[in-house]
Amino acid sequence: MNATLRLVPILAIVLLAGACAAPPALRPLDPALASSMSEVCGRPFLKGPQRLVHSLEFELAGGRKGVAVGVLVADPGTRTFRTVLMTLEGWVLFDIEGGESLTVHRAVPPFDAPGFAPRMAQDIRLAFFSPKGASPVLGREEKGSPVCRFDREGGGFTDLVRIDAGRMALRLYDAGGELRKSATFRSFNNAGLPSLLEIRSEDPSYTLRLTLLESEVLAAEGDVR
Amino acid sequence: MSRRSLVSGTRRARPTVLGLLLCLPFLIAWADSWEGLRQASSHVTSIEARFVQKKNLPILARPFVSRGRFVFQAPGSLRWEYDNPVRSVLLMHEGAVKRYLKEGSAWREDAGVSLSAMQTVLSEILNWQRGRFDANPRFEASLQAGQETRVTLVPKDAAMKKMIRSIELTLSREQAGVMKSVRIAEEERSFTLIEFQQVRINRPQPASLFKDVE
Repeated sequence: MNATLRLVPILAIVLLAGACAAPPALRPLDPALASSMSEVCGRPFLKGPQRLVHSLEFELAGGRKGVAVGVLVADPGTRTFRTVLMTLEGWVLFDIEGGESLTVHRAVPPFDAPGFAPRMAQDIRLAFFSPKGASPVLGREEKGSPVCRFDREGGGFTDLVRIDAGRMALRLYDAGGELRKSATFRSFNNAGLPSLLEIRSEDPSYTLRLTLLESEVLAAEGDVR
Repeated sequence: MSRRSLVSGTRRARPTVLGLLLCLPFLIAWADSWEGLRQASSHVTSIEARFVQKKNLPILARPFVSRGRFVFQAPGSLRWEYDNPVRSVLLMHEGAVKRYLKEGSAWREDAGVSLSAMQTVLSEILNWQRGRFDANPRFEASLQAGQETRVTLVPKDAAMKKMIRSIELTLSREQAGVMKSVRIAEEERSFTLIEFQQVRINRPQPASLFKDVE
């Protein structure tokens, strides 16, 4: 009996943890909205090769903040990119190239920390490339916002939520249904590119705020160098 | 520096032809030796200039351009201010470095990861403003006199060479003790070019300019 009583709090914690990690259920979408959702499902992502320059504010755990300039050349067709982070004064802190593999061309401390480059690559793929795989499942959140749900390779899924006419949110869940990252597209420019974007990671905890400064459509597909 | 900016920078003085002729040997010679550089710089008590910063990268088709203002007051005060595209101010006064970033309508002091590195860079700029281009033992300094006199600094240290390939300072022929441009190369196709314009020297600068963001 005593042993059973001792198990109760543990069981409660396990059950609660399970409840927290449960993926948000999708509710059926109004069929009238479904036809317009295909445009919504692809809206925030790059449609072709682009060169983008952002100012990038970052906030790390403990409230440490900083600002950098980020240059991104990305091709959603080949899912390849190259990105450079530099100080406002032009010092290059970080330079990586991603495709099938990830190459770190330059990483100045603390950007040489293990895991930083893969996290940065994941952030770029999350915010700029449409999720891979089959067509998304359409539905709506409990609050009513329409959602495109994309399955992720290796488990988990990505939800793209249309918050309102000008804002969208991407939420990346792991195989256990736990939220790992989110990206909020706060506004779009006339070319349809996100002009204000916030990426938030849960573990490790950090926030990136990107403001689009310059953009250029690239003609040569596949060449991001 | 453009011809126009030079004209505007020197209009205040309105030198006579005789005055120019008298000064000519000094103006030509000031940048031809380390001693000449130090001598000329010792006569400069303050510099204020606009600057255009062009960042070149292999992945950029055209340079990423930033603009701002630079103010130096001897012996050791600097203000390095970006007007666009990201508003920020770097201040150095009595050895202390601060950076401020504009957030909305307010300035926020930033203690970001690059601040300590910027302290080193600003100290180096102070050396240059004093004509002490060969003061840092971590760099090999060379002077190439000619149509445009250049000082080239190359890191001696292998670790630093990975960060900076060279720093090239082009000196003004027309204004003794003044730099025309700075080119900082990380790699062959990755470099920053800072060009100074509308340079004015020896105008009194309030201390608050180097202590307060506004």
